[in-house]
Amino acid sequence: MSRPSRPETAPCAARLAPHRRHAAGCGCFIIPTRVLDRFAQDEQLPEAQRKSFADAASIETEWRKVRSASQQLMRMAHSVLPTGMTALAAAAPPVVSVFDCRHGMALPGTPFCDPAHATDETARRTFAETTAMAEFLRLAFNRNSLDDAGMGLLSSIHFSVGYNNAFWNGLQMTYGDGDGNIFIDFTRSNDVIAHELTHGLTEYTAGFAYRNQAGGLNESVSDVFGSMFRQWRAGQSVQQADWLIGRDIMGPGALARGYTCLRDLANPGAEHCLSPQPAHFDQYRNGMDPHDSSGIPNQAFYRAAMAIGGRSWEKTGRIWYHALTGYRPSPNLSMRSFANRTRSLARQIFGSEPSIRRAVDQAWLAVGL
Amino acid sequence: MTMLHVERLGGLAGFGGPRARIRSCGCIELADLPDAARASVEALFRKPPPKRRSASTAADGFRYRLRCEIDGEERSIEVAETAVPAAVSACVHDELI
Ligand SMILES: [Zn+2]
Repeated sequence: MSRPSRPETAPCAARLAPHRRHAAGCGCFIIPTRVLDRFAQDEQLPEAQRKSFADAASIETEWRKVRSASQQLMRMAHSVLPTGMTALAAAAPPVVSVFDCRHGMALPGTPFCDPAHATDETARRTFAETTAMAEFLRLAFNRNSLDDAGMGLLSSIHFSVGYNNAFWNGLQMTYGDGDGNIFIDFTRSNDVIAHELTHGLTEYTAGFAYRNQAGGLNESVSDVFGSMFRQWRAGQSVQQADWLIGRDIMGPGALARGYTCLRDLANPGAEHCLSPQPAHFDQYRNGMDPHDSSGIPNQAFYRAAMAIGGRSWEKTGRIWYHALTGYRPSPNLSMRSFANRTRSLARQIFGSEPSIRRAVDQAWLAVGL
Repeated sequence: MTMLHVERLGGLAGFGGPRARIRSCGCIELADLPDAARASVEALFRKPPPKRRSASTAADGFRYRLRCEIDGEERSIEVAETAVPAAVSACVHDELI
């Protein structure tokens, strides 16, 4: 299987490899197929509407098949390819592409042919930070893109009008421009870009569900890798880091009210957070939003990293990375099981440094796990 | 006249959470919605997505809580952003609290 060599910048849709053309041509359909099917057969809906639900259900089904096949193919390739060929495949870095939604809601939008040199500052920033995140995964964790097989990284910018959000929909990242008051352009915080990319990494590895304890872990690893990436870009030690999520997307209205970030790994319940979180497991309840419960493992990572010291991605990050990627998919993993994974990994990876094992253990004990 | 109350939840910023300082609410008369949008909303209330699948499948995607009175009874459902007609999602306003 030949792989395209890395272009300087992402190719236009017309020049994308077939599987990438497919992704570029899809709309965004994340309503469960069962619901789409039901609407398609609902005789109380107008004919045109039923047809559009039927079309959406059909595309959704095909899309899920492509995604599932791609994941299976990747696993198969790793198991059957001779070592040399696997290594060759793993060596090709991911293609990074950026699309412009032009304030509409159809994904992915129109491709920037040369996002690295686009006149649009958001496009240039998205390309640069996404490329840097791929480099971070390669250098810090020896991983080639989200699937460890060079998967292309697709981002859409200028989604909707005044849109106060960014998300990962299972295939790509999407960023709003913010309303200019509470939030500004969501690509401005590189930890936000890394947060969204990490949702893709989680999907290709642990596969944490997005509810209950696994949902909190899912959100937490996105914050943890988001913060580590921000620190790596700035060359910061754990002492120098600010541990904030979304500091650079806060708009003038939010700053004027004293909100300096979305979340703070060092102090999840702080007043300066727009969304303060619990930091102890005794406050956990099933049904919590994952952005709430993630404060518990966020605090554990912060405590471990501060006790271990140095640069977060070198030791603490390595333990968390293997806890996320080194096991079979575990969609309903509990926070306690994740904590115990990191305890075992600290012993396995850093057996000659018992202080690391103790730091990880103490960090989880401090949050009640 | 039936008022549809709309609340946007979740997202990267955790809108509407118990401790969150950001929320997004609005309301609109069902009768004021375009026909297609009203039909979509009525279909969602008639056959809401099963609870486990009602939340957005997109990480950090918004969810919407829709609430209105039907046959004298207050009904509330929670659905992913993609299930909500644009005319409905446009009625909410993001604010700091
Ligand atoms: Zn997230």
